Amino acid sequence: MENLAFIIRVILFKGILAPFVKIILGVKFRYDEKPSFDKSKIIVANHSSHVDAIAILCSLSIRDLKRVHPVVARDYFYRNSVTKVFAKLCLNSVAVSRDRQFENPLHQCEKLLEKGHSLIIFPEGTRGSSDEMKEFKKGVSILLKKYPDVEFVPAFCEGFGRILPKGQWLILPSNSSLKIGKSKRVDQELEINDITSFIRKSILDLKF
Amino acid sequence: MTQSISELTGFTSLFSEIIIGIYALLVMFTLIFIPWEKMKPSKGMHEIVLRVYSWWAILILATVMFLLPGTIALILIILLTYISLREFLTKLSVTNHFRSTLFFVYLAIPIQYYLAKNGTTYSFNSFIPVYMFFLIPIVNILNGEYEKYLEFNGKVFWATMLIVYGFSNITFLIHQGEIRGYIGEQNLLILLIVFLTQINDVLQFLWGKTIGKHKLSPTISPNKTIEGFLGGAITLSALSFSLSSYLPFDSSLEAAGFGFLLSVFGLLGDLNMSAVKRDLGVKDMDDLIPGHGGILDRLDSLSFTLPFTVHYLLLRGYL
Repeated sequence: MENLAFIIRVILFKGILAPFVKIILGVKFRYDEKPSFDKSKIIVANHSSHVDAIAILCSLSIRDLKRVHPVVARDYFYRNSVTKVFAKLCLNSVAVSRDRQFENPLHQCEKLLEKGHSLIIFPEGTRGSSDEMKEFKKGVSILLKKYPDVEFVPAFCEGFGRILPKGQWLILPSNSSLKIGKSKRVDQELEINDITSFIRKSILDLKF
Repeated sequence: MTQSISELTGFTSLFSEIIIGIYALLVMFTLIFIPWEKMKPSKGMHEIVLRVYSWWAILILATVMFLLPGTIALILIILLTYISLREFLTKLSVTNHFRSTLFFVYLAIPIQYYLAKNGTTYSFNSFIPVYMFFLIPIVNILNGEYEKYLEFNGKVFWATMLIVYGFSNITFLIHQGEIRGYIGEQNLLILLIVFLTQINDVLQFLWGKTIGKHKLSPTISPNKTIEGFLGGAITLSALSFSLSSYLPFDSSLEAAGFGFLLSVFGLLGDLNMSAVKRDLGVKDMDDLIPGHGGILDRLDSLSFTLPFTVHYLLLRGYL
């Protein structure tokens, strides 16, 4: 089952979605450094459209499709069985609940990081507008403080909000790019709030 | 040699002769310009060498296109048109409005190519100029928005005309270009139009570099000179004259006149794209081909010479 899902993901992302995103939507991929996921890492990006998660997954190598998991909202993606199967099988995602239903909403994420897997987190929590970045939630910072060996990869999604704005269904090409920065480690001395603003700044630095 | 190539590829013998000639010319260019740039590097020379590389890419791509079965070549042309239109539309800030209209604009590509292949000459020539001209505002009206209405209609219609209508002329010529006395040689006509248009760019550039003094269009493209244009146009007329047995025209003199007009429209197409880029405030339309810009940057002159050719043939009664 695990392997079947992996094969589906490879066909989906490498065979269909990567050409679609590059040729039809015209998204440009820019790397300061190709991140390696041999050790656990957290990709942190701004979020303005569903396409940005797909673009980040398209930028990964085949091997990494097995060990990189986007973190999705339980209430949104697990709302019915179709989206649930899609989120689990195709996105290889891990769900967190936004409404503090559980004691430790990051429990699943921690388990994956301990296994040496990596995560994709959109700390804005929900899709924002493409022009402005919302305040970040603290989850990433808590994880990065708890696991000092885990580096984070800042990624900036530019113009994706215009491809598929929130609440619309029509996908159209736009002048958009995905910029992936160098992996960074956070200073363990910092407070959670300072880590959050450090991450936020690293992402915004990629804008220019 | 031409015969064995014809047998191998299924090209007509006239087509094989021309394509061998073009490859020979490009080999010559490569052997002249690349050592020249190595010995005396300059910005203009660097530009030419980059162009030589992209011609190799274009020529090999074109050869492959002519070798492929018609349907696959058609799909590739449609894809290239789509990428060009996308390059253009995503540069416009107005395209953040009226998203649903844009969907119909992209939809115009397959419809136009269908008409170019199977439709009548009338439907091919009126779908975008007339029907899309009204369809774009109609969809906008139904959306009930008026902000940037005029700007959107104008810019988007213009992009559709220039790119979708312009490039679909290739497909029209291939599938419906049955010219008397020239049956089965449509591929040759396309090859020659593309070749003459590209060589015109080079000729105008070379004449301009050697004897150019008076600027032709200082505001839009400061490098273009009147001498360059005249030299290029006269040389292209001579070239068309000498190639007249490969062209569909009744007389060699007409071929020469066609060559002159082609040179004029090539220059206008080039200046047109420069003006567009200046107005948009971009240097290149895209960076698809590293160092060479996007597809539209390479096809600037062709966006004028292709419709010109079809309409010349129609007006003179060849089609």
